[in-house]
Amino acid sequence: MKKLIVVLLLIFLFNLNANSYSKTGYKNFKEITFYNDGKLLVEMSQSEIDKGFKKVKRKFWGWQTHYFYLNEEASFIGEEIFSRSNRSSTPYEFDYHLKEMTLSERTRKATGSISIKTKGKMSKFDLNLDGELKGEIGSKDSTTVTEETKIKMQIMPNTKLTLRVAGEVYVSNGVACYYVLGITFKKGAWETIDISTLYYELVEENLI
Amino acid sequence: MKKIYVISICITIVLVVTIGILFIIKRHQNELKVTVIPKDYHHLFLSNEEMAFDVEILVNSKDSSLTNKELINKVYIKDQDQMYQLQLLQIKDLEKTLKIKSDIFHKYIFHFILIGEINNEAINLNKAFLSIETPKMTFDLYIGNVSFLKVLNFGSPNNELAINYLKGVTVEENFRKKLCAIIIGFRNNSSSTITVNNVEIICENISFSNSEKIELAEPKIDNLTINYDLYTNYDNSKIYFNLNANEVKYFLLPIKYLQPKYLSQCGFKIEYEKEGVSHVMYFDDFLFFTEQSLSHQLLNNLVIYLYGNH
Repeated sequence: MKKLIVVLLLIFLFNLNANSYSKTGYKNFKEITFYNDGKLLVEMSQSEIDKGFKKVKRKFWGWQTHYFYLNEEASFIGEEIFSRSNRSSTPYEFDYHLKEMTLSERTRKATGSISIKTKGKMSKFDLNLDGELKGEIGSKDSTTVTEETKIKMQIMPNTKLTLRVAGEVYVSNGVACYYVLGITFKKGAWETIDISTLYYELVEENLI
Repeated sequence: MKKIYVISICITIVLVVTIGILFIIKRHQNELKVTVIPKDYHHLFLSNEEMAFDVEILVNSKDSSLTNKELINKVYIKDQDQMYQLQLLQIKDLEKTLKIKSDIFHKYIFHFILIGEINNEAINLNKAFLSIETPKMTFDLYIGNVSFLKVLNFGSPNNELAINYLKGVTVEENFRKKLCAIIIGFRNNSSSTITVNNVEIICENISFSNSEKIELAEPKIDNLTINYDLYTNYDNSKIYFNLNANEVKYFLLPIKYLQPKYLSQCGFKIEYEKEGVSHVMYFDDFLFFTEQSLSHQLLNNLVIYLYGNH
């Protein structure tokens, strides 16, 4: 009986964890829609990824990459920056100061034996895969333009005020192999999402 | 003997050239490079509030008088006709860098408030410069256009007229995105009809284009970046519509510019009438979008200010 409870608990926790990530596989991007042809790693089958590995040419030393998509433009729906409900009978004065965005300019993902190293706010693929991809990925200089906003609003009784973020991104993905003396040392799939523009959306909704 | 002369002259020439090159390199290394990405600063303030604003300044050194608050004597903001004194409250090192051409620039945020006697409720500076005085030199940096306005309050009495939706639409011009339209929702929270007589952007030489206004069934359009001519057929005629009791209406309001400006944030003034009484409502400035990346072309065209002996 105890075992059954533990198994059920594990299944519940696993499901909870799986649901905490959106269908894009990224916490920050609830939905990504490509303007033209494009696919995220999470939408690719294993056979599609394996076909990519077959296209990687062996070399004596270093990274060799095959791109599925390079700087493919897409739009995304992101997180809620704030959401305040007023369920009282009196108006509520709301003062919000947005100083720093929580989204970083580039988001990375890696599978297989490629790993991502994170240092403070910075993250990088291991063995300088970034250096190998640089120059091709991201058509623009990666830099956050620091803007800030303050907003003063009244939230009326039984209404909810939400500030959401959406935007435009460049998606690049592919597979890569790292060779040492011609032998595959590391291999995996990788993906980068570069945010080009963030749009803010203010929505006030009735709660009744 | 002749050989010795030739060798001596050659050595002298080599030495002079080497010293010259070293001198130029040394001078180049000591040169302080400063730049600002120009934009328009539009802010609304309540009448009892300080007029506070931030400017992002990019500097190629972490050790200069410009980024040492203790060494800054006076700061002004000015254009050709007006000048206002500022108080520097804080210099914040964002610990982020940006490569422009071959130089690495460090990002700093300078936080200011306007001080001194300000008679006007509105301040408009066209092509404004930030002037920062240190004991050794004055840094004059072009920052863009400035428009500050003080208002008595935000919103309408009892929130009878509310803006319940806002989102920006952009167009790309000269490697930058600009606000070219907004999607806006209005809700009448009262039990009487409200007549909106005008909706204005609080920014000089920019207006909603009434003739191109579209009423939307829901606040959605397919693309957030569109092709749109910002300048032809400038139309600042009044935006007029009725809202029945508890009614919600959404509009796509295109924007026309009289002159090129970089607009990503703005507030609104709404004139309306309810039960024969006229009201003016202000909506606090709203940031519609931020560009997370800038094109190489834009960065390469930035004005870089050079200072020796900083």
